[in-house]
Amino acid sequence: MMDSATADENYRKIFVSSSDQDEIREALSNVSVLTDKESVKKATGILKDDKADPGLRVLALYKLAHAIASDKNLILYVLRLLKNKNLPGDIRKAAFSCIQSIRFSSPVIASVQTQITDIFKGLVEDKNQKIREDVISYLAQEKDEYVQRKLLEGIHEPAKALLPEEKAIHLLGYDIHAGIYPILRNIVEKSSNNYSRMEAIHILGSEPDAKDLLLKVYNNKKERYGVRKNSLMALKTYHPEEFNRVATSTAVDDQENPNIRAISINALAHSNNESSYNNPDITEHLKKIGRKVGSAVLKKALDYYLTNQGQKQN
Amino acid sequence: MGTGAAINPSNITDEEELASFVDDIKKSSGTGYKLLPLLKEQHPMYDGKSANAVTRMRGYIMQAFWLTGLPDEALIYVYEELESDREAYLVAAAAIALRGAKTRRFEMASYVLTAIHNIKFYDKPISFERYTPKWPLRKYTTAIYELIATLNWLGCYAKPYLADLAELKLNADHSLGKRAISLLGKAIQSIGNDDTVVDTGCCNSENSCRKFNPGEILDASTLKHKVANVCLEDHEGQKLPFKDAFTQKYTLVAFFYTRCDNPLKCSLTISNMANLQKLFSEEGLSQQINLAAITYDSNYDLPFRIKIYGEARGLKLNESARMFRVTSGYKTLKQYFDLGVNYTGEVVNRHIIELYLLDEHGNISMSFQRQKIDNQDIISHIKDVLSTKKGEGIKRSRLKIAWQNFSSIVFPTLVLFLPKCPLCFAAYFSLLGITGMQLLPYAKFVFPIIILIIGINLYSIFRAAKQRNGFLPFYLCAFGALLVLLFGHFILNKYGMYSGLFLLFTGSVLNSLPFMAYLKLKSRFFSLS
Repeated sequence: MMDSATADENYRKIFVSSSDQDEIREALSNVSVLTDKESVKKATGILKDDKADPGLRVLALYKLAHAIASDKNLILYVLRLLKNKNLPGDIRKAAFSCIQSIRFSSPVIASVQTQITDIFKGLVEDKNQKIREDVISYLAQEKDEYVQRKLLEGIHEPAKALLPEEKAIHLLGYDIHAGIYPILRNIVEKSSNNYSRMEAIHILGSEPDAKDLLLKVYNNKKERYGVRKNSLMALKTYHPEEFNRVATSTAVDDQENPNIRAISINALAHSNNESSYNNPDITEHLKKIGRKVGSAVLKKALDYYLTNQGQKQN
Repeated sequence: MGTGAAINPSNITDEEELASFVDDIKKSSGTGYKLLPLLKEQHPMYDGKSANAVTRMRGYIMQAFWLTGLPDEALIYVYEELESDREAYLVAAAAIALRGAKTRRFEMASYVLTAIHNIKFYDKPISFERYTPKWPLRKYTTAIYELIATLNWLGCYAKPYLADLAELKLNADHSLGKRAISLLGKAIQSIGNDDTVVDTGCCNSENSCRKFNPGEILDASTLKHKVANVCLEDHEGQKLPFKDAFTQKYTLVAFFYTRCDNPLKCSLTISNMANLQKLFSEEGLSQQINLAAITYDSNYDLPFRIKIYGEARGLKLNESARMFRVTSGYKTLKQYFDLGVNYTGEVVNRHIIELYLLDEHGNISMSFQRQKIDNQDIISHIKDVLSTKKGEGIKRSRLKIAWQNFSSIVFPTLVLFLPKCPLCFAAYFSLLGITGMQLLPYAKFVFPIIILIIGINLYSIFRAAKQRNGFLPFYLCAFGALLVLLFGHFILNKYGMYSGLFLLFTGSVLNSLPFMAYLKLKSRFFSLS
């Protein structure tokens, strides 16, 4: 039986020497990464060959990641592939993935950063939805002002939206300085899109003034589970005292949704605050209802709370 | 001319209005001063805008200085961006603005070089062709391109930095693009070839923007009414009013917030405070000055957050180095310091680097704003302030010394000239034209007064001995007093008493001499003997 290094070397040799498309494809599929001069040269040739099979070009692109990361000219070539709207979507998507994957490993990426940003910005309205989403996500993480402008425009005028509203909210949430809190409040209060509301609530957790709104949403038992869950989690992250109060009352509320109760009990059990993980009222109540609990999730949370309590005290 | 010129810059509130105003202003040169009020972070137009919008607004204003001319008053704002911003748009705008200055200065090249190092890994494609450019762009510039263009413009004024630029180019392969490297090479060549003779005198080499501005000094009553009762909470959760936190010693106060994402601002400010803490200790200033950092973001920056933030940056938090959040009265505090900060909702959208030195009454006695904290510079300013304060103390102590001198002369003189025998009485009274030996029977009442005065004199000389000229004057006076007592009361010998009086007088004079004069006299006496 061959070890993996030997097998890899064999595939590399086949790739370099063979002229048969199927053999090349198989070798490329199985080789780990191309680093030696000969195979890099051959793979680059395939990548740059407009007439080559798109699938093979995509394979070559993936296997060349290491070589591309250290070569400015190759990075610029991959960017041109991404920019070329006439190429098959798979090649362009692979080009984007390649750029993204070498982002942290390439020692020369900084020298082409402006070109990358320029091309990505130019693709914000690309017709290929996957590419559009990918470049917008990338730029949103960079807190890019143009993308923020476009996302906000889409929220205000849905006809111009480049992405679904909930996705846009999620991406705007990467930047706490984006000034979106008033818009998010409006969405939570008025929107009928619960996915958008869930995202908005999640981000509003970092807005100290949103505490009352979060409590209002959480206390409304008619709200969807996801919406209430996010409200509770937002409170936990940024208003821990308020969360303790709310979670404690939820833990002993037998009329409450079992999943919400389970979340509250788990969060209290994991708290570092002794009044949370060792609350006699909760303990007594949970012991009392222990056998009657129908929900498996709630039962598990309850057991965890009671067991963990003893461990923490020790 | 468009509609923008008719707008009063103080009334601008939205971005479109601003863009229109700036577009009109830049049509004519010499109008840069009209843009100055728009650069203050406190301007209401920044209120409620996202950080990116604020960057867009400030960048658009700043790049207009290239056409309108850059007034000297705007230099501090331009330098601030070059030194501590990592937003490519703002840095590019600042580089462009510099080229609108009437005169080139050596210091400008230093700021440009710093900006290149700050931005080289964060550069972006930029366009100033319109306020809100739309991608894909036909052509774009970058912060690095603009900074290099400014170096070119500086020409011979960038010459002192040629070696740094050459080193930058040599190591630029992994950080700058091909075009930037080529532009840098050309700039180096052009700077090197510029043989214009320039004045390297004080005016060019001096930093035109002083980090130190005498702060607004408010009197105690204004302070009392304005900020004394602002409620603070420290990193341990201890609540106290402003007046208790800042009215015992001099305090160096910095402003920060934990959610700041510019490592050259808040994070660096707190790290610098930690360094200052060490330097204060080394310089023996720890007992005289406290350190404090107040967050701009009090609702988010709870005690545990500010504590972790400070300690992670090396600040040793204790009674004399504390971090605070404001639990009530933030508006008053903001007004008191005239803080260079603005907000979008509760979140900071823009702020400056700012430090203040408060005196022991909580008055602002100094401010360091907009430029990176220079610890040595701050320490030297603080030393100046403290020595001035000490000087006032010295003035007060001089008065005290003068009084001591006066009293040490007056008492023995009184002793000397007080009538101590019937003859003296006769002499005095005859001097005053009064004869009356009938007073002689009261001599027994005068003597205790003389003893008391001599006693007070001796005590004061003894107390002052360590601080002044040692114990010799005291011994002389004590021996003199003994002689006066012995020969004036018990044995009644006028020569003995005169000797005593002479010793009393000599001791008192020696005690009252300045220390250096006393030493001189003493050394002469011993050399003679």
